[in-house]
Amino acid sequence: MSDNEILKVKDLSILYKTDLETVYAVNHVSFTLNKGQTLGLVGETGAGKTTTALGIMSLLPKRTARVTSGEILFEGQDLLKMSEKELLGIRGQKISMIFQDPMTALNPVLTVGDQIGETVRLHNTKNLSREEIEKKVEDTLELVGIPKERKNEYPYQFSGGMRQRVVIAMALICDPRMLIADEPTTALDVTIQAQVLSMICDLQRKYGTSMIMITHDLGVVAETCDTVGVVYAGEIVEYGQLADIFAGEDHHPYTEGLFGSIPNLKTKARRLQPIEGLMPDPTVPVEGCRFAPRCKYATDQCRSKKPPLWEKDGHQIRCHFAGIRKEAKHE
Amino acid sequence: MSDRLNENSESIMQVRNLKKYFKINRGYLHAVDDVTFDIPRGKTLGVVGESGCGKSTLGRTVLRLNEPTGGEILFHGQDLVKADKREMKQIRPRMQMIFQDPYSSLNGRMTTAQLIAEPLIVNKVCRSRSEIDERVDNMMDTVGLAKRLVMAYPHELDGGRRQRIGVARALILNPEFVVCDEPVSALDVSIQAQILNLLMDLQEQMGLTYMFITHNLSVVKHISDRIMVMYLGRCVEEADADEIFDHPCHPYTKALLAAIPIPDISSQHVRRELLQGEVTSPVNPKPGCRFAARCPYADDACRQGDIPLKEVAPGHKAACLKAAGLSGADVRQPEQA
Repeated sequence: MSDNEILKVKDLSILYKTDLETVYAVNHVSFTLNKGQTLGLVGETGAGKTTTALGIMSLLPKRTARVTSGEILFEGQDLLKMSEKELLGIRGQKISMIFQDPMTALNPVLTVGDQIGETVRLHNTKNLSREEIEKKVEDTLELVGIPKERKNEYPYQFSGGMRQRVVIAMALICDPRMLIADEPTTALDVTIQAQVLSMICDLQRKYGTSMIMITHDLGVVAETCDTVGVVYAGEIVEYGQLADIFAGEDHHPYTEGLFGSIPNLKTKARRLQPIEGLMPDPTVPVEGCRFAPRCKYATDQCRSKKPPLWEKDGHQIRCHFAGIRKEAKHE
Repeated sequence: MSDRLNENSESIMQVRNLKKYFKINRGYLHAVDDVTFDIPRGKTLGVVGESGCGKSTLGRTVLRLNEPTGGEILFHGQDLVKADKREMKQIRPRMQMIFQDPYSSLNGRMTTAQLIAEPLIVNKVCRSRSEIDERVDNMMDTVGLAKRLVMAYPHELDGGRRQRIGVARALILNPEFVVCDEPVSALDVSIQAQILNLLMDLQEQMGLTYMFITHNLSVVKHISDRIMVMYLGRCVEEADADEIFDHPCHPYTKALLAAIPIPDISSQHVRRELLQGEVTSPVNPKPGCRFAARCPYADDACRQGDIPLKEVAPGHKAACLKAAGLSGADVRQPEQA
């Protein structure tokens, strides 16, 4: 692991096992997050984005979830091999997470000040006094744009955008080295989303935090990320620098489909090019390519054999025809 | 204004000064306040705005699912506000609604076929069971639901298919006018595109007129002919779809457009003009422009009296005193540092 990397996920697989069925949520996912950079994981509902994040945080539900393969190297140490006690020193302090829904992520019977301070009280490595903690809470509130006088208010007194700021303050108060933002703006209106996104990015730049941005919105990816992984059915089907995904020559058919599904603000196409069909059932293990049933280029080979990883200058595509399909299309 | 009205004699729906206030403990919540618009036959009016701006209330009030507080709703020239119960019952089949959330708007104890047949039964349009079955069959075909799903219950279906049932229910009575209230916002992008294509195809086939309510600006641009931007119960700007995106006049519209994240890296370095603050309360609003509290250009004149919707260019109306000075400037011009 080079010095520049803060997190390296190798071949991670996670499944949920219940009495009735087994859900293959994450399948052999690998990616690297460099220091101070933002990695975007983009995909649709049920693609396994949040499961990946919870896996990194070791917050998976213990009774059903199993990590079946892989390593999660954070600053060189494998998080999967750590004891619960060691994890406590990392989770919330070195790695923290911004949760998706600000309406439910907060405890309604505690003041926001209490909830933000809880993280520091739990990880009080610097032995801060009560007054110092209060001061830190106030500073963090100001940092995310909430007047410090509001620290004694309860979550119901805040609007959605303000609550999301509280959730962000909770994640930031211990100056984490890595931040996982799980759909941080999905529940917000566009003008508030713009405020929150620009705030997250400013803070990230200021403190050099590395970030994983989980989203389904390609627009958010374009504005915030350096590296992008496109997730489909628990697999990263395409991975590369922002320019590789948004501008590059070669793409996974699913990435093409995602772009074709968004109405473009600049050009007027009368019809969208959606991806036909639905996400595959995650309870059924797949032989070939997971996207094959919806892919318009699929052949017998795609249905029977798992596609290898094609790579060119760090741009990876999991498709049998990556790099050669371009020519095939023009025939 | 009045000559526009005559020119649009083909308007299927004309709404004049529509108001809907809700009485609450602290006074009146002005959900829809003095909104006027026309929708010509076969066209789509897109209504955009953030949550709480009154767009859903507007959609419901236009269909008289809420009793309006004031104003007129002329459907083919007939004022719905004055129509009595019997008249409404006759009109209702001609105007329908597609609801937002396909997870909660369908009765979980009814099968696909029952759900789609319900409007036919309620309105007693079919004489026999077999006629109902035939129309349900045809409708399932039209909206792209496979025959094998006839006996499926909503919980067995995914969001896209459920929303197709919602569309089928709205269209089975062959309505002329359909209010689509955020029909795709609960769906994933690839499914969203399927439903949008379906709605547009059906509009062409059946000559439907849509009022399309959404908070998603790229969706509204894609589907609409004309767009109305709402802020706190008021229409702040109305123009043709391309016009409003190319030359937004009202500062709120500009801010809204600038706030959309664009999936295109060439526009990444453009500085955004961010809107400060949040939506103020719609309860007992102060006189003057509702947007004044967040508007970077607001002055004292903006906080006094009502700001009327004025024509700033042919077919382009904006409710802003400063609109003339602001129009034309492209919001996405980089702020050169």
